[in-house]
Amino acid sequence: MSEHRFRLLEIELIRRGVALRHARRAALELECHHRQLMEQALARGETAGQAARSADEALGSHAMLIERYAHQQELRSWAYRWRSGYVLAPLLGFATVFSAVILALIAISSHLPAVVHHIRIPAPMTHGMNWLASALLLWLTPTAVAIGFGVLAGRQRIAFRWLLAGIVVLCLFAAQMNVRFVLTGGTPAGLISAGIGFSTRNLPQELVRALAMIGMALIPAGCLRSLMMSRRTAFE
Amino acid sequence: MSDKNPALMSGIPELVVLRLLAEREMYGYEAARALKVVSAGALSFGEGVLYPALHAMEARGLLRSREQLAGGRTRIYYRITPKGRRRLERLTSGWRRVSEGVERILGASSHE
Repeated sequence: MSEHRFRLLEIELIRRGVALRHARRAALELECHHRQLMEQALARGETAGQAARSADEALGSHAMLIERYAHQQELRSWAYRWRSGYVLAPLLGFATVFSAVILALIAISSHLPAVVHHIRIPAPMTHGMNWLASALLLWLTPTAVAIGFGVLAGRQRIAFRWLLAGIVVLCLFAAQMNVRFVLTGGTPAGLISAGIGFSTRNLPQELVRALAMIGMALIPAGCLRSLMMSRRTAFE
Repeated sequence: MSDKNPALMSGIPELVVLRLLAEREMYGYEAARALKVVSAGALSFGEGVLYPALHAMEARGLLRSREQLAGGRTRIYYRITPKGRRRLERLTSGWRRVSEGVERILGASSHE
């Protein structure tokens, strides 16, 4: 039983739904226990190979230990207990971030200095700011939220189907959203609006937008997953 | 604590671990050794199965743990909580009732 066996055990425990804290501690305690069993066997005069075998035997098989941990409901991670929540959690996360950014923009614009009411902001700058706000809220925010949940799901070893469903739901929703941030100067100095709308006329563009966001979110999630798989293979 | 008869052995790991830790705090390896010694080898099992039981009991508030560095290794010591003591009392009286009942049946059978 090499040291890697305990890292592999930790990974497998997390994959089977054991909370990170318990999985890490299990690997630490079992490795320590195994070392002490080996030391005891070596002190009895066994060879290193015999000591390792008798320590393996005394500790119990890898599969049996995983089953025992996975069987304990108290040790399950919240992410595993609520793994179907990954379908809606990214959407709720996006809605929260989106609302917070809109509220922040409203707060900032309501405290703009009076000078804004006396100037005219050039049209290209107005367009630029509107473009930036749209890019931030309609592209960057949903993609970042989806990537964040992808990383979280990867760390928790949540099945890919739950994450994929969550990202698809989020991106389809985000693709229907619209935002306008028009700062023109004068009185009134501009407007901020955000909404969601579905129209068959815009459906092709919205689907393309959704697919692009899904792609952008899945690339880092896929990279993380393949990295974890390669680490796992290296341990094996 | 054999794996071969889970129905008969259910609840025993919890009882014996709580009983051991009621005496003093121990870490996993120490508890496994003590179980072996005190039971004179009667309770033999894969020592690793002690840990999920310890973790689950801690999650239920029956035990509390603390980490301590000893000889370059991190050891996790477990001690019983007041809730764990109450649970131990219930389990002990339950086990005594069962074992007395079984003893009576075995005694009656041997006299027939």
